Amino acid sequence: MKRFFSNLNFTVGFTMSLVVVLAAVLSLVWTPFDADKMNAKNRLQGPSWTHPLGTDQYGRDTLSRVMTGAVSSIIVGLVTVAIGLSLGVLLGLASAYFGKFVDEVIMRISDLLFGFPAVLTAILITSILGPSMINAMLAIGIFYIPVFARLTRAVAMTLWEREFITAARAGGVGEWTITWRHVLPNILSPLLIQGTVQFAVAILAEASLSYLGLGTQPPTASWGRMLNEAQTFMSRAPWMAIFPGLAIAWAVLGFNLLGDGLRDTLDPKMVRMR
Amino acid sequence: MKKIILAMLTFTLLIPAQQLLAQTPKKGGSLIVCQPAEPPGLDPTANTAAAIDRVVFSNIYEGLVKVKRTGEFVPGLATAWKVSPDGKVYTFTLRKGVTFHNGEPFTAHTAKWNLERSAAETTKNAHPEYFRGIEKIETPDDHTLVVALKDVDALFIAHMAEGDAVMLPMKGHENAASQPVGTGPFRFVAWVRGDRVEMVRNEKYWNPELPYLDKVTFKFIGDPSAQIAALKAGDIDVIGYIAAPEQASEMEKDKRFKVFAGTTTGEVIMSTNNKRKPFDNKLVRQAMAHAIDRETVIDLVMFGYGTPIGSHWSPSTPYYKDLTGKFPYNPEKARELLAKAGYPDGFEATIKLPAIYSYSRRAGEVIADMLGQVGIKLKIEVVEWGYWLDRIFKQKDFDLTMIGHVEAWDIGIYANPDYYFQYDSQEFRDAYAKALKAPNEAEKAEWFGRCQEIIAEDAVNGYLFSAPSLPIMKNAVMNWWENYPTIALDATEVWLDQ
Repeated sequence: MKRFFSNLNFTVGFTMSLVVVLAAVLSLVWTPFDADKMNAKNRLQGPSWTHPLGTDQYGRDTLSRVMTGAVSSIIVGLVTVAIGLSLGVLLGLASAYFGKFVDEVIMRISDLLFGFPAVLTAILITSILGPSMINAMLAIGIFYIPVFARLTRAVAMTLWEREFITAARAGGVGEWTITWRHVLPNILSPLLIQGTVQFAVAILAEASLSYLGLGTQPPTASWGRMLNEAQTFMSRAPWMAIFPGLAIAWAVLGFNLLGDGLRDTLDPKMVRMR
Repeated sequence: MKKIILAMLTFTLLIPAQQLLAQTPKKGGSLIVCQPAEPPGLDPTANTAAAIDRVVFSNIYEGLVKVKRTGEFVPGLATAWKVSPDGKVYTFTLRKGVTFHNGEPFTAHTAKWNLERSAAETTKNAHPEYFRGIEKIETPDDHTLVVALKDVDALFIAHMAEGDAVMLPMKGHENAASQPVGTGPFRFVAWVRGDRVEMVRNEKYWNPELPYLDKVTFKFIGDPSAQIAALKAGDIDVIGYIAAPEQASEMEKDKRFKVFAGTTTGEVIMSTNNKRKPFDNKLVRQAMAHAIDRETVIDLVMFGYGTPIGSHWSPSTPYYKDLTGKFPYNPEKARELLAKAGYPDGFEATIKLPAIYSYSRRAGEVIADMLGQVGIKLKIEVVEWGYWLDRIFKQKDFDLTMIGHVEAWDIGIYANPDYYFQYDSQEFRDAYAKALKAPNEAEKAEWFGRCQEIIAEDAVNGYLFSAPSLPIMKNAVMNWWENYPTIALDATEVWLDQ
């Protein structure tokens, strides 16, 4: 553990991400105000002791909404990475293990998916399926499959050529056992690094989709939607845009630094190269 | 609040009136008007889109009857009309010396051809029913048009004053959607798709005094922030009607601009599917009516601009009856009624909101919050306009939605049980038929009032507010309309003080 915290990127990233996670967890049991409760008398108030981040056009407390918004972001991050990881690793391993035709098909489909601009296709998918958080997660998650599939395949292929695998094979261990016992544990760290980075990307993607009205639906708070709503109030109530904007920047930066830190620590070769 | 709005209204109404008295209109100048939606075509007799009327109606095209700023019907291309004692025959005296922009003279024959064209089986007119009540049309001379109706129609003149009843020339009407030719004060010059429509003064206009302006350009800017930016930068002179009221309250503070908080014919309502459970239960609908606080809705959604309504009738339309007190805001009463209807713990439903209208999205969120407080949990679904038109308007697949009905005199939609909110009431149909056949003003007022009462009592839809006109303009723009009793951005009498 000490190894991790001696890395500045990791320490900063970990702390920033922890703040986001804690805010989200806390919001499940407590927020300063009911995040969805409207109050006509309190609308568009600037930051004050009662409302540290001000209120929005319906008089809802921005701090409470930013906290609740963290839940949407984290759920989207977790689910999309889970979709990408589970299917991506499976396909990547299959690709590496079977090679030839299977590899060819899986990789060409991946290329095809890579060929589409991710956000644009996500917009297409949510337009067809209807805007909702679940569809947004599905749309983003699908694009993560080839990312993880390629990574898994690349690392697994090099592993298969390594001596300890050959040794295991010589010792009569079956191919499946080799895959589960020797290959998979060894690709965990690159997957963890990639997963953290993709987590940050998912937060950004969810914000983009929600900003366009295709992600999280009202009244559930989401940072992207808050930005969208704040647009016409920019000159009057800038806090409505500034705080959700900062929240997005904070979370994305945090998880990216965390990913960087993990890479620096788990992949010593990279450090030496620097 | 109502008083404040009224005070604001009278105040804003007074300013231009005083200025008008003090100054005589100046001729010349070019005016750039901005509106959010680009029209799908420029022929109001072939498409229902209000964006078309806002550009061309009264500017390029005119009808027999015109709507005055105060909402009364005044001569347009007809200088006078007489109604026979049985109320079935209208004799129009047509204006002399009127020519279309292409030189074609406007006569009784042109008028007859226009009315018959709109009633024909093959017509593209969005409201052929306006014309199908006509039995026959006679033209004793070039300037007299005798229209005999099959039955008394109290709204015949009102319909003749709509954009759907404008006069097109017999030659060249085929291209009206892209090359409009009318009799109006402005002549069409160009339509740069995606950007603007340009028109210039009609030198041969039948009223030699008008128009004052040399040129009018309609510019299409969808984003409300971009509209304000363009106005501040001087790229446009008028925002015809505003999409985001929060901008208007900002602009009121700016001394360089004028904001008019006038009335319109539009009613913003929470449309309710009257055939779907539990909304088929009158008690449930009345409970919802009690759960809605209109003043707060207007505050939160429209920043205080707008007038509360209690039925499907705008205060700017004649025969208006104030029914806002029928179901006063009372959450306790709402819960009681829900319990009586068999929903003591409330229920869940979905409200679908068209994404293109910000007032609708916002009102939906506010209403969801209000109904939530009496136990009705609304799931909000924001949908695209195409989806709305198809799934909600055509296929009636919805619980609740939120929309503005902009046409004046449109209470007749409640007589159609197939209309998207599927209200079926013989009592209403009878009252509406009586209103249409009312021989005199007193009976018209009585029966149109009764129509308003019946749908208010049945709480067919959630009646929220009448939309404000909210034009914003430079101080130099004079004589712009404050109230919008008809769907038009009429620049005929507008002039520039510069």
